[in-house]
Amino acid sequence: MTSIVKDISNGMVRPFAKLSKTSAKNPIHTILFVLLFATFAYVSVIQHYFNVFQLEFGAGSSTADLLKGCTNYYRDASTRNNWVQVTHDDDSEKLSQYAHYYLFDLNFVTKNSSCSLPNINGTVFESGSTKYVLRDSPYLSDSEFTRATADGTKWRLVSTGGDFFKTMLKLFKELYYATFNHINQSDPFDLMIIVVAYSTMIYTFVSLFNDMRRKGGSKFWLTFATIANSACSLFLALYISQCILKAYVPILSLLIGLPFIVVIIGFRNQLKLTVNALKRTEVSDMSRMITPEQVVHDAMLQEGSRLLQDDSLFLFAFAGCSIYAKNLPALRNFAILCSLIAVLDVLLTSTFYSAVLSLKLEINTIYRSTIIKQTLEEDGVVPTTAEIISLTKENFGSENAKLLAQNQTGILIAKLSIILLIFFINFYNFGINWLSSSNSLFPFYNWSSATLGNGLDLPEFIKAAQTSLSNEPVVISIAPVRYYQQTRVLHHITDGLSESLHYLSRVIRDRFVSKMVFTLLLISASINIYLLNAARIHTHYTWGQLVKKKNAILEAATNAVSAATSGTSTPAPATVPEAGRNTPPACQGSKKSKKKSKKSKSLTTTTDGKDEKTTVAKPPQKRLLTELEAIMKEGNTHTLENEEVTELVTNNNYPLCALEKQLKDTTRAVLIRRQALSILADSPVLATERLPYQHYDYDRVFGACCENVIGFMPLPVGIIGPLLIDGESVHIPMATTEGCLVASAMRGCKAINAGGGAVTVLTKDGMTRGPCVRFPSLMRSGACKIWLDSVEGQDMVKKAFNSTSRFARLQHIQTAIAGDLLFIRFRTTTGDAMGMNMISKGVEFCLSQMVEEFGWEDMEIVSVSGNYCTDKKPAAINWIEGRGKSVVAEATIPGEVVRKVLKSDVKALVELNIAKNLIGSAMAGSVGGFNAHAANLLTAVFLAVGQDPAQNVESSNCMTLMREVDGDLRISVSMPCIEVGTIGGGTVLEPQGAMLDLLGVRGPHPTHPGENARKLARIVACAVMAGELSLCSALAAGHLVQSHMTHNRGKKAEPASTVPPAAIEPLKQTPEDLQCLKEGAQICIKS
Amino acid sequence: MSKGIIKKEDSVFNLTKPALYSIYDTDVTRSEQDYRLLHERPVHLGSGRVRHKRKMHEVLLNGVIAVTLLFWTGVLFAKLSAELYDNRSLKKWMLSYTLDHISKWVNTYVVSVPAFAVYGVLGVLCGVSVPLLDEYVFQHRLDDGVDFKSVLKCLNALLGVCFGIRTIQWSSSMQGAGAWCLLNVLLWVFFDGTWSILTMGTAVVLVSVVMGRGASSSLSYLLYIVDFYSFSFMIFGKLGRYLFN
Repeated sequence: MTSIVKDISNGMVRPFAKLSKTSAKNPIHTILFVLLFATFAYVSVIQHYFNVFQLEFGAGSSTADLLKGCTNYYRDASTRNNWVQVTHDDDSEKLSQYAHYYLFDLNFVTKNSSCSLPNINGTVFESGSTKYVLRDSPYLSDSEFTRATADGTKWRLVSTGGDFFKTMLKLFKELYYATFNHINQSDPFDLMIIVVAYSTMIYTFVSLFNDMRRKGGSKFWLTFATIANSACSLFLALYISQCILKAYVPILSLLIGLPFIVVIIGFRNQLKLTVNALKRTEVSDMSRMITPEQVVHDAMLQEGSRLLQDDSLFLFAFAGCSIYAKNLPALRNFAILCSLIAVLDVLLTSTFYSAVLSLKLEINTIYRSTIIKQTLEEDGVVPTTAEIISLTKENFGSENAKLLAQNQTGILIAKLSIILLIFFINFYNFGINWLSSSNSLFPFYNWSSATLGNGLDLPEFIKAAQTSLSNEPVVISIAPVRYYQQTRVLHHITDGLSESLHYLSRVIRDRFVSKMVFTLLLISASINIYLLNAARIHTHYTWGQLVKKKNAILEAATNAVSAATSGTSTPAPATVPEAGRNTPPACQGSKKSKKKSKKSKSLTTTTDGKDEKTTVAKPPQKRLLTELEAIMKEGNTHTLENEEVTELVTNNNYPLCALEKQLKDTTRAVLIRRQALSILADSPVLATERLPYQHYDYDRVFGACCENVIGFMPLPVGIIGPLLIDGESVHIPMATTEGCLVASAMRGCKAINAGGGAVTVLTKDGMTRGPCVRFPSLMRSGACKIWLDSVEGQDMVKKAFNSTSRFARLQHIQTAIAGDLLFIRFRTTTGDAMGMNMISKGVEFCLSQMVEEFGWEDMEIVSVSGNYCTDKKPAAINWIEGRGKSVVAEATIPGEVVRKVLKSDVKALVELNIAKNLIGSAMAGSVGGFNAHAANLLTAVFLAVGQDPAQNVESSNCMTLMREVDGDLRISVSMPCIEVGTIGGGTVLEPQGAMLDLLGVRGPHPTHPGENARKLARIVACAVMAGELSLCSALAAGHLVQSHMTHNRGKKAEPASTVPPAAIEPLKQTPEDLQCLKEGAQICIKS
Repeated sequence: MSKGIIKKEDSVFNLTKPALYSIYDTDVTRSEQDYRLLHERPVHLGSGRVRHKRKMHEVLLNGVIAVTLLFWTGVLFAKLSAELYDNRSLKKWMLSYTLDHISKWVNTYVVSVPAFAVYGVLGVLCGVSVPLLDEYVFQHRLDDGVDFKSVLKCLNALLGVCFGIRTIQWSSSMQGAGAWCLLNVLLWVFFDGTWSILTMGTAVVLVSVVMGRGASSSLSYLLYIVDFYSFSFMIFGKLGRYLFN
């Protein structure tokens, strides 16, 4: 049943996915339009409810309303001329028959007793600042009081004597009594159900916030958008049901029914959509340059079916219910409302929420780019190169993100405007409505004071004067106390404000003006959209112009060089392949490269690597060296011909290392350097193309990876995998020139996968730097060591260190003393960067702080690196304490797989491992070398993914352990110092970055800094484990062959079936093959 | 290499070959597609993580907590059934007749225990049966739906329906029971959709109808029994899955 529903919803989700893509493509338009409609619906719905509220509960100015608020007393013959209190509801007949008077208690609140009180007609009693007015009608015009008295005092009506807190207290009391009455009237069981429903609704909201923060990485805004999405659905549904379908849902039904609907529908689908979209960008945007709208589309395609399925079921259920219970209006109307909510939930999730999600993705991309730039700069890359890398297309999913990045203030303003908009709408709804209403909030609660308790007592003067009244039956209604205050400036301001708002609301309500305002609103919205769009288009255009300009400059330079070298003025081709600059050699000119492979060619003279034409020619006129020098001094070296620059360099007028800076074209600089070196070093090989240099992005190299660049060294890259690491399938690239290595690791992967994959544990993550300092005496060195080891010292140094970087956080300081020399080993986190430069900066600052601020003025800094780190050298401290990432990987290989795939035996493997990797290495006095060939795998992976190959020295420290568990092989590799990073260093280069993309770890992790680098370390450890497993198996197989041959020689007559199964596989080979394997094993031992 | 005799040129070639070649057997470089292997054994490969094996006392503690919760939920549901009525023919205590009947039967023929103990034990039985069916009969692989929120949603839906039945002015009991019955089908699809709950729920409902006939034989009453006990069983099933997962 559910599978049928699933299939149907899977088929139906495509249009919604397309809709979400369109919305995500135009997020501003979509959000604005949806909000506009939702606001309209919200205002209409609230006004509708407010009107109903006024009709039902409003304390209007009618006599009936006034009587409700009064305390009534009557007197007739039956009461023996005594006053008896009556309620309006019980004795309405009596009240209507008898002569009716109204007694108003007017309290003039003032601290100044000299102020004169107004003269009011009908005043029957006066005491201090209180006046009692008896009227035969319930009306008391305020104009009688607002007139100035003899001394010019003006009075105005206020609520409860002007005490705001009293008013609020009354309000709460009123609410309390109302709630209490409802509770008393309700069935406790119903009440319990409602309480449970509300509790679960609150839990749903809290868990939404929590889940969105945990899974979606958004603390507030995405959760807010999710709730806004549902709120928009609700208000639009309410508007349609009430104003269009005329199916009115009372507020009480809504308040009772809504918690159930919120809990059952929930926000699970929006959360899933968000998580899916964010995961997609985390993994794939770097390599596939996927746009936010595509991400939203794909996420919707995957998760939308469940949304559709849920909402369809809801629609079906409630629509059925509305038809089934059509004779029950309350249920029918509520069911109609719920059906509409279900429909609108799907529609708005596909439009509004998709648009918000798209914006969020773009903002994430911006954030990522900023992080990349900051990390690279902290890692020592020059700012211009860092900017080039951070603004590349791979780091930006779309141009929109790039544009938004330049307009982060706009995002803040947008957020602020949303808050203001919400405030304004609510102010309009509640503030203006209630202020403009004759039944404003405070007078309403002023009236209610009479209804509390036993009502107002009959004043003594009435009781005393009863004889003066006629003996006919009479009713006196005592109105609640009215308080008056002297009019002050503040009152004038509030009155003025209230009046103007009242006037404004009256104007807006006008039939003609309301239409005009609505039209203006529409026009304003359209203009806003147009302007926002125009801004985007303009920025697009400007960006495009910038790119064009840059290309034009390059093109002009190329043409100039071509023209100069060819001696002709052939114009450059109209269309230049744009991707040429950054396209790797494999992508372009493969045919040409094949042709070229047979023979080496002379150097090309094109400078930008856009084509491979070899047009070698002399310039038409040769300028003198002095002329060239003059041009150089003017700073116009880039206008010179290649040969001229080469001449300058070869004549020692120009340093080789400054070519990039002066020529402003890195590829041209490489070309000229090669030409110059071929002359200076007398190495004609550099004048050929045997060392490639074209089609390489040297902008990324300059100031980041290499100096004096003369080309690049291509390395073959193989791939192993899929390898299951912690449940994730990974393909691992390996750059190597050692045959068989990749194939061997591949077999290891196969065996590990067959056993269920590898499991990894990361035990430590911290890069180290160990400077060496010297003190005048041992005593001072010792004192400094003790201080650094103390909590106070560690805290002070940590504070200083952490101030130098956004990512580096000092974890621990370890010290060692040798004479008067003190070695300090700083261990810090470095985010996703390998981070040596980052640490060095922090260490330098800490040392300077120690000298200048912390009281170690006599400290002499011998070296910022005192080999106590220890970097790129074998050292026991790394093996013991760890450096970089300390990872342990483990896998269990079933015995059958060991025999069939690895063609070995578990026992033989365990024995070999102990003998070779443990005892053998111990005999050799190895430090961290308890493995077969960890460095082989590690270095190959390092080269492929742009790690520092020199760090293979300590990164290859590895202990391989094997043991037999229930006939299966349990293998583990413990690598305490894998030094890797996913940003900075060689990872900024495109091929290496592409390989990181393949692993899904390029750049900084968007939500958890350092997670990408940690994942890379786990992958490296698992690759090493695959290699270890395969090689040890092969060695053990060789051993098995030998032993079996001995066995066979001794027992030639025995049939083959007596051989144990573990050794059967190798024995199937011919004796000649065995001989070959034997030789192989011997060669291995020799090697 | 032919017929096992190493030719001279092979020896020379061996010198230039990487040392690793000589260690491995010939098929190490044979290209084999590992994807097949991955797809063939998806269950075995799983997440690659070693599942934490619970200790005996942890298992026991979990079991005790689960049984206790199910027991008291059973008692609560008995109370809920007693409180459920509509404004027509369904009166208070009518829906709890089935449970009372079972309680009396147990007291008469099995063992004399208080009624709430019988209700609690019935709750435990309902909660335990679904995970057992999942595990041994239907072998469901539940991707989601066993988290606390889904149990809460289910409970909320039941309370909402109960509230509706109690407060809406139905034209007849049949109308209320019919509406709930139709809703139940959709709620099962929405919340669960598993065969184990459907089959076991049907069995429970049949027993309840047979046991509850004593209170009234009207169709609306029987339909109410079907509605209430089937939905309640679904909640117990989900709670059992959550607690024993």
